[in-house]
Amino acid sequence: MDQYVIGVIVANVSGVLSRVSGMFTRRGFNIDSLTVGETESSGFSRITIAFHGDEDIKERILQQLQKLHDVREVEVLDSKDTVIRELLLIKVRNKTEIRQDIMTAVEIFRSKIVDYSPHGSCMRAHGRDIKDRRFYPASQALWHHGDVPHGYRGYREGRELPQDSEITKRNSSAANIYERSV
Amino acid sequence: MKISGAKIVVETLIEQGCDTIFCYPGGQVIDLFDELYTARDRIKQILSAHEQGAAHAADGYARATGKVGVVIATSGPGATNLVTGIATAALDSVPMVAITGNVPCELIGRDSFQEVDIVGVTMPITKHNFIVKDISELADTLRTAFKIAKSGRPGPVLVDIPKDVQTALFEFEANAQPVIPYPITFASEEKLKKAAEMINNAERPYIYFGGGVISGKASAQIIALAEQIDAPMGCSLMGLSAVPCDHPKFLGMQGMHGHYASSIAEDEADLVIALGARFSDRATGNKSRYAKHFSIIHIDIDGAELHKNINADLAIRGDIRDAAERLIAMTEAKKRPQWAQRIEELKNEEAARTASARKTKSGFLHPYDIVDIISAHAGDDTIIATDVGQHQMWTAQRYPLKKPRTFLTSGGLGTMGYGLGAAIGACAATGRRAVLFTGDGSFGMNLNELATAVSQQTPVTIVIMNNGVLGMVRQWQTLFFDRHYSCTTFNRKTDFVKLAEAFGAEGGRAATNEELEKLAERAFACEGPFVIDCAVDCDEFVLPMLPPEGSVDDIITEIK
Repeated sequence: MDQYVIGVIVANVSGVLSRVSGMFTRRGFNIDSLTVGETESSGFSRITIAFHGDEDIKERILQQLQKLHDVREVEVLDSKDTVIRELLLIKVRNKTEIRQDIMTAVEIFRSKIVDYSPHGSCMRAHGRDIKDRRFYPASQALWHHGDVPHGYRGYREGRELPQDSEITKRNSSAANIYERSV
Repeated sequence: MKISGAKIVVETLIEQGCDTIFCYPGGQVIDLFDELYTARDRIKQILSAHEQGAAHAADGYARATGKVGVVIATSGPGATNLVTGIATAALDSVPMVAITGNVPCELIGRDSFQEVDIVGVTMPITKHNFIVKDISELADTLRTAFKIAKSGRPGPVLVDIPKDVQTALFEFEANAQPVIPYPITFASEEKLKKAAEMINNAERPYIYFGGGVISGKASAQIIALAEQIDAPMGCSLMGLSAVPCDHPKFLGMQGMHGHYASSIAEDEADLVIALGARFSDRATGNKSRYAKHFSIIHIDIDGAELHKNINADLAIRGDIRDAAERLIAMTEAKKRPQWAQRIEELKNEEAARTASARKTKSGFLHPYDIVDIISAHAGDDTIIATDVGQHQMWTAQRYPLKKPRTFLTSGGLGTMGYGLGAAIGACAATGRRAVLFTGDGSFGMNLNELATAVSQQTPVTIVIMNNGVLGMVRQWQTLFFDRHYSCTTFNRKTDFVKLAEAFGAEGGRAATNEELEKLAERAFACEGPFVIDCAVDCDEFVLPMLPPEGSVDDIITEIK
């Protein structure tokens, strides 16, 4: 089972997230993480979805997404030419005896303290697959209360969004951007 | 000029070529119905007994004509009653637009009276759905709904219109033409060449087609291809009627209750050419055993069907009619005498097995005799509708279907109670006669539509194969559940003839072929609905049968 990260450009209309996530539920696929935000053209949103599966499952997910009316484009974010970042907020107890350890971890892993109070502080980390790397185990050792992973944001390097006029042509052309090679 | 949202809906429907709607009014669509009243000379309105019946009628209208069927219901229960009908259409790729009213925008989300989030409810069972909260988007949303419904692989679309949008005023200008579908995808030349090469090299090719051949209007092309490459054809339940049943290359439906020759021929083939079919579990049997001996070429308009249920050796996305036409040009005309001879043997074997499996019990009609006697009275154009269960399979196996779009049955969803609504819709659309084959179980589900058939004077002959049990489930219980007839024996005392009379229809009962003959004559002379209650033995089996999760190796052709 490999992990895939895909970018889905959708029309920014109400219910679109339901349609996309609902497709996963209905067809028995699992989402590892999902982030969504408006793109620079306000009519469109970008949903970045990470999931585990084999090649077959990936193909089926891509094909089913293509069929949704509100989906304009689906792209697989290949690790070779994509910037992918995961954001993690970690809450740690602010105890005097471990404060130095926290600061060391923050420095080594180039994260940041973004909140500070007598009871706890919040560390922010971002990078690729944070949970798999040493930062996460190290911070766990620091009495962490819980974490708020923000999921992945991914962008194909040097690639721009399709122009509005191209997008409005939709379906026939957009649906062909991805076709399984047999 | 500014007109109301309700009027915009009616004008857009007419603009889109909709001549008939199936409907049930209610509080949140009362404005829309007021406009329909004004437009009653321009758009025919058929009131059903229940919204589900209206949805099935719109489905029957669409299946019989290929046009988009339209159903209108109110919010809340009106909308949820459509759900089974919409799902039935979705699973069988039927173009339909369902319009529902909803509470005014500002009452949405407050659990107002008769409020339901029908867009949320129907999201997984529609091709797409909309809620229109801004009147400026109303006309274009409806046009898009029609466009989506009829493009590519057809399907149902729902448009939910809150009451205040129906009453608001907006500029409207009718388009001169209905919307045209999104451009179709054509199969790649390279892949078709590869397919042609595989076909030319095959010794025992077999064509397995589905409902895509009907919606893709490719009947003539499929037949020509089969003749050119000398391949037998079998189909899924949805493919029935695409090819005339008496075509020498046609072996009938394959799969769980398919024809013996068809299922065996497919298994013995070295190449299966799947056209507009989706390898449903009912058509393939056990998937780990299926396709052990043959390669597969899969051509479908819907890219998501490729490699979904079965991994094809060559998968091609494209319009079926165009692909078949180009394949005919690319393949060699070739006789395959050994294969053709083997097919003849299988046909003979099938005839012998069917004859040997047949048992007659006095006091009961044999299902095949019922189908034969009725079909002798019907024409090639007669619409044949079914419900779901044993009678559906007997009809699918036996009825001599000749023309595309004459067979209406719920294949994917298997909706008991589908048939009467569908027959009413098909008759309204075509003005032709219909026959509904049903069982006492299925008929019991939506027999209230008999009221609609009477009010519409629908020329439908309703043939109830009455065995007093839920026959298909009983068959499984007999074969696989130690005859534990759990909740499948009715012990009802329903008198279907009196019931027909109570609704204002005619009817009669038959327990012998002679009685059925006489009743069929009366039924086909009758201008409105006619119910024929046929006595069938409760232990009559649908054969052959591939047991659930079984394969052709386990085919049951006779119960000793």
